[in-house]
Amino acid sequence: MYKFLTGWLLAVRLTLLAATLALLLLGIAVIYAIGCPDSSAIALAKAEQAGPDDQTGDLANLWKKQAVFAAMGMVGFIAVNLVNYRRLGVLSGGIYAFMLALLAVLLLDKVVDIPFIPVINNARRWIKIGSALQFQPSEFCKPAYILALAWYLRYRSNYRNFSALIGPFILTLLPMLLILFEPDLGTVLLMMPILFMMLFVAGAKGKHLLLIILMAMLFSPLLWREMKPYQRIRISSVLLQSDWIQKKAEQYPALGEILVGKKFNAKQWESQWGYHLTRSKFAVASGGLTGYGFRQGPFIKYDFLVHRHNDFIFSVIAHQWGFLGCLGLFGLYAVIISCGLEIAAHNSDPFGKLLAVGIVVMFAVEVIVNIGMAIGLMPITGLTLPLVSYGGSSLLVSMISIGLLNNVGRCRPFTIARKPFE
Amino acid sequence: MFVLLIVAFLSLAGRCFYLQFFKTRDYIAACDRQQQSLITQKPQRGAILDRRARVLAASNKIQTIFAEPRVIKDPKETSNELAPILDMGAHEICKIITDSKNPGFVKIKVGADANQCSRAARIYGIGVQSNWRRHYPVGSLASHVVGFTSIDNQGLAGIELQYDKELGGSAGQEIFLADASRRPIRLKQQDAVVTDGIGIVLTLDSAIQQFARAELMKQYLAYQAESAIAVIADAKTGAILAFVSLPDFDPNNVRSTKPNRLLNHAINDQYEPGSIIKPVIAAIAIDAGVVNKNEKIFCEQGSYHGKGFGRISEYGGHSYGSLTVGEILTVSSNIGMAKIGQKLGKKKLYDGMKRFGFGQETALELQGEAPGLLAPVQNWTGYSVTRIPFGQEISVTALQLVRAFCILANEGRAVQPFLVKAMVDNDGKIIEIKHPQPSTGFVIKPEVAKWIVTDALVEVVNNEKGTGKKAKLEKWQVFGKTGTANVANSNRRGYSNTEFIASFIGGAPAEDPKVVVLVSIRKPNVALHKGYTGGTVAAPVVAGILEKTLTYLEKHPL
Repeated sequence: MYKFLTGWLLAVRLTLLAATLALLLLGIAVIYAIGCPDSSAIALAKAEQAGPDDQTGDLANLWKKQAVFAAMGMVGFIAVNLVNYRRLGVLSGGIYAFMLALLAVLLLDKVVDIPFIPVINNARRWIKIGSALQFQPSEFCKPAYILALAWYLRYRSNYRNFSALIGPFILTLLPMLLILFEPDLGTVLLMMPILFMMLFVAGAKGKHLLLIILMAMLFSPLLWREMKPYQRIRISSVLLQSDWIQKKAEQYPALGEILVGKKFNAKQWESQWGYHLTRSKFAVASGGLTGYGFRQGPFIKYDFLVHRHNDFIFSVIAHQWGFLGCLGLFGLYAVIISCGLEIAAHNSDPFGKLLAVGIVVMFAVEVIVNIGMAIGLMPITGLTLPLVSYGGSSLLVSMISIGLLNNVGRCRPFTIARKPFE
Repeated sequence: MFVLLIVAFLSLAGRCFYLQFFKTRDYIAACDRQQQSLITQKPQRGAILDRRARVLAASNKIQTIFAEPRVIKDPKETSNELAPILDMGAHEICKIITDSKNPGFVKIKVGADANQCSRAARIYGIGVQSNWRRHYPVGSLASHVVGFTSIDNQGLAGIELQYDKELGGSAGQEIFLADASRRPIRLKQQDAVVTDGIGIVLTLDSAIQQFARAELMKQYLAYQAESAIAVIADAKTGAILAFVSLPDFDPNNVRSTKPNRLLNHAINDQYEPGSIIKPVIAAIAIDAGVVNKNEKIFCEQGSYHGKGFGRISEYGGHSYGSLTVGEILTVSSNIGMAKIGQKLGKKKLYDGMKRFGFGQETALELQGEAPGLLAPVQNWTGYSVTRIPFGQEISVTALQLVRAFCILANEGRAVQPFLVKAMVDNDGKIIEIKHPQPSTGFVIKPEVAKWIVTDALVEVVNNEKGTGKKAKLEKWQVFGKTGTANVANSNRRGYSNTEFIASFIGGAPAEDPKVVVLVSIRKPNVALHKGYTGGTVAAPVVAGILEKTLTYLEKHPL
């Protein structure tokens, strides 16, 4: 047995690892399916028109890349298990600061043009060194942030007073603001639930948290006012799926103004604003109970849905394997989450517990938001489906996170008696 | 926290179940709709040709190079690439692209050639669109016959309107499977194959049309007339060889044309014909046997009046004694004609006019034809039977007159005027020959018709006293009849003293008439003091047209 498997909670950790590997394989299989000859020929033709910058062109070979990423992820998984997680805690401040610096460099590109930061879709999210190495700092920021927050919150004094909560909030707001300006709304939205959940689990007073949530809700109209129309549309699209609301928005220009920031137009909704969502729902719904089968179905064969290899990969899974496939996927994630919670519950060290909870929350929120957006329950953001979506940074970070969970689980709890969870 | 997670996952699963179980059918249906892209292929509109296959109207393919501004990331670069291909300035193209209000389509060059198109289409964000554009190479020459189309190739007037369905062809419809950017992927079903329009061959001869229009235009301008028409028909068949209505318009540029120019006076106008109708009445009378060719009719020395029909006088204050029917036509005596009308009686006069086709459309293949007015016999007053014989109390159209004279020239056989000779497909193969049924019945006895043409109507031209002597030609024997109709006052009773319609209808050669020509000039300007009668204004035009046409037909027989 490899060293990273030794330690406590072996059964839980093996289950966790099995579910993780299953999801990895599933992701590679789905990406392989999308690259079937019909669709990849079309994508290639399109890519030729679009020029060399378009990476989606090589659909047929994406699964190979994803397999390489998965292998790298495994390496990452093993790497974070080389040292005890408590040792990482000591380093967490440094890692966190390094990540902030990377994010700041991304923003610096707005002022001076830095060669290795490409602007894609008007956003600066990647650092690209050469043609091979390319990564998304905001992805790596997530575990760094969780690590730092968990390290900070291990002392009771750091969260029991209302004024003491300022610390964790600053810790959250710094990367949040930096990422907000990239912009990468999805990652920003992910950080708040992590913070609250970790504070809650750490033992912050519920009324303090409620107060903060209330305050945030009071300020939300202000925030809404500041949002750009396209951002508003993404969020209001959850409501706009209803024909009734669409009709009202067309009837009353004021309502349309609030929802989309300009005059609402049902035609434009259909062809532009709600386009991804509608297509994604088509893909999901046409799957039915059992789906079209592996590598089958129009959404596999043709390019009806953009981003189907990353952001909307769930739609393709639902399309191929139907409702039963979705349940299976949920099951795998449920296994990962419950294993994570089990690990968190077992560990009496506040740092380890918080770290595990943070990672579990991150996972859960990513899964819920990504699947929710594909079926029209959540606003459309760039959050990926962890372990399944195509993408090196996302995969590596997910594997590192699982590795951290594993690391936490390996350590012997300080007390033998199990504490009641929460 | 655990509860929260469970709730979240359950709601996800519930939503999936809702979409995948209850809504599957709806979404699959909606999906099919969205994934289809309907591509319509526009057919080529058929050509309109004259009888010798000269093109009067044709559709050409116009290639338009356009840009799709929303996909062009760097307009400058695209413009630089496109500029040398189209031979335009790069800044010009760049401006077009960046200024475009429509993110999906902006025209860059209309009418590009094939080489430019194939090269330009390779540039990302640039496309080529084909369209058909109607073109009328002869311009206004036959504008009232050919008509014109709208910008989307719908026939709006003339043959273009009458044969819109045939000319238009049918569009092809193909349903393609389209991807997210609505690019067609593969053919799903083909609903209709594109069928090009059918070409129409007219009986018109553009050379004769040109002679007629030039001669008529000269007189129309010289006399500052309100409008003028000239119709030339094949005397034997009724095929229309030329059909001019002035003022006319350029069908290539209809939108800047004043609406009054679009009126086709040769079929839209109905008017009191005046003396020009006299030979028809005379023929009916002789045919009915109520008058003899050599019978002398007393013309009352210029003033004829009686109970029930008022007072009739001669044109120009002439006074005539006893005249034969021939002489009555030669000098165009109103009183003589009135007496012939009285001899005929209401019933025979009415029936005769009906047989000659007055009071009903000629059914020429053009829209908007007026039927003329021949009141039913029970509505006739005592005046009618004496006035109709010299062309009052009856309204006719130019085409009805041409038809009546064709019947006379064709030895009394019924003649049907027609404009469309055949329909041909794209390769010039004849699909259908359009030809009215050859006439079998006689309207009047052949010898009567023959006598009217070769005797009475020849005298109108040849006799020193004849009203139509200006229509005389050296080489051919012309026959014909003048007409100077008063225009009825629009607001008062009676006729205007300054507004006339000067007409001449005739043909040549008298022994074996080849063509019948009608020229009518409406409201020549009396103030010019150049004259206003049919003999002065219209007869020379007919002579000019006949001379050129017959010379032409000698070399190029019909």
